[in-house]
Amino acid sequence: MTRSADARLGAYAALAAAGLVAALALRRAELAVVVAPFALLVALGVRAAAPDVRAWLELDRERALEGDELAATLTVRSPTGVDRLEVGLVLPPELELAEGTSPVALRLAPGEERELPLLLRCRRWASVDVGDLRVRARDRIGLVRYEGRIDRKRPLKIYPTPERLREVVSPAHTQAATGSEVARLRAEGLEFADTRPFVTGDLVRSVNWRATARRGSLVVNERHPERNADVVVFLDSFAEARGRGEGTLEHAVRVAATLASRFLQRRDRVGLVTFGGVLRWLEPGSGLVQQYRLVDALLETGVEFSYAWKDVNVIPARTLPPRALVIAVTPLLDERSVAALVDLSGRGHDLVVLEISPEPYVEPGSDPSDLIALRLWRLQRGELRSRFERLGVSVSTLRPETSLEEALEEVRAYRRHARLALR
Amino acid sequence: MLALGALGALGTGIALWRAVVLGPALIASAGAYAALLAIDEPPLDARAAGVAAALIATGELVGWAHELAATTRDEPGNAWRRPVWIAGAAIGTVGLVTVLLAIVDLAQVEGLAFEAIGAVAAFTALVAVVRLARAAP
Repeated sequence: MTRSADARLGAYAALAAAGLVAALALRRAELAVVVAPFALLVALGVRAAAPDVRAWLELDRERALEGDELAATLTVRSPTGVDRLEVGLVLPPELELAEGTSPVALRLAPGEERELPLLLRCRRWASVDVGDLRVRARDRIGLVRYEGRIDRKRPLKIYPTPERLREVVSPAHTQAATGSEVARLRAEGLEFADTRPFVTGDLVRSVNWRATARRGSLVVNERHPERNADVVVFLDSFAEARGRGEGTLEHAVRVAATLASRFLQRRDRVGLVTFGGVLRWLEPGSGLVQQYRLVDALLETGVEFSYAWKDVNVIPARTLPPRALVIAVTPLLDERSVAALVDLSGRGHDLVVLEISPEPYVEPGSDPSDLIALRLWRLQRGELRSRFERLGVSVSTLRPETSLEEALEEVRAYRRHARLALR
Repeated sequence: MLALGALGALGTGIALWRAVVLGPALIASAGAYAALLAIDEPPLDARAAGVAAALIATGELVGWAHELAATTRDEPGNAWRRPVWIAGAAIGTVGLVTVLLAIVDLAQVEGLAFEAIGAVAAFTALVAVVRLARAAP
């Protein structure tokens, strides 16, 4: 613990010294007598020994969702006793105190243990360490205080709250394993596709007896099988726009987590590429374990500044399997990520761009030239979206007030019509 | 004397925001009392007890004001401790100073006793300063 002096200590010592000197100089005993209590306080105050303080922090769980409230118990104990102990829990910006008092000043008798209940609210997704405790102790006189830091950090993962989605984007291509996506090919399945003449080897149960009766020869039903798909969430972390404590990255991570969770529920294989100053990737997989892996990887996402030019060649090939649906979640702010997406589209990947609009975070100046600059910037972004659409890539813009469901509906509508127009 | 008193009062007011001004403010206030003694030249001033108590109360109240301005809140039921301590310190000061004044009165202001008290007081101050310097982190 670090020892420090209160402002009164210096003041009292200076007054005592000045009073004694003045008493000698003026030969007035009253001056020495007046400052005697100050000298006594200084002498007693500097004798204060460092107290023995111990503290612990316990959280009721290690994982939570955005908006959840966590119960925390801060326990303090002092074998020596402290006349006034100030104890506070330093919270990361992602957490706030919902109930309880921190910092709080209390008095501990020797050997007394005190539990302070706190309720913490998770403000936004993050992977944080909670338990940075600060203590400050002083004796009754309070001229000397002891300050210290007790590290009782415990990891806490705050997961983004997934949005409710009724439907996601249907991939253009499916894989061989069973899933929830009705494949375009014809095989054993549930969805009716077409009829065809019977050939040797067809199952009797697939015979369409009504069509057979009309045509006079055996006709069988063809069906679409239910297959899974490979989906890669491509998260652009090169740059973000921020304002009023919120930014495009927070929104993008929420969108990515929702999509990953929803595709995994459909038994699809989902992978992740975080394309930014630091490249992170997760090969496609399925199941609950993959969901936790994905969300944990997303929690580590941050905007790391980098001048290095990166393209899709730096992404491991296994992370972007052929015929995978690539859903890019991007603010379309960095040239490198735009170039990478154009490249992915050119390589034949089924690409969807969900643009996290940076416009709500932009505060234009009042100067006419600022307004012209803003207008030009908007036009430039509009042109960028048109460029993707010319390549056959659907672009949907997400604003804070837009739900992901609406954005995906826009993508689905585009893909229904654009595919017909392109082929 | 009035100027010193006003300076002390002003300094105390400033000390509520800037604690480093507390020392000069207290010295200025005590200086006003010293000026009063120099002008009046009473044989032995009994008002010293009141002056010391006022100075102690001023210093402690400024300290309490800074504590209250901080974000730390007292646990319910503990807030009364500080004002009680300040009142106790002021009353104790009155008692201590009265006793010391009585001793001084008994020893007669003139003579060896006065020099001895002065020497002991100076030595005490020196020891306090040395201890303070050693204890500094």
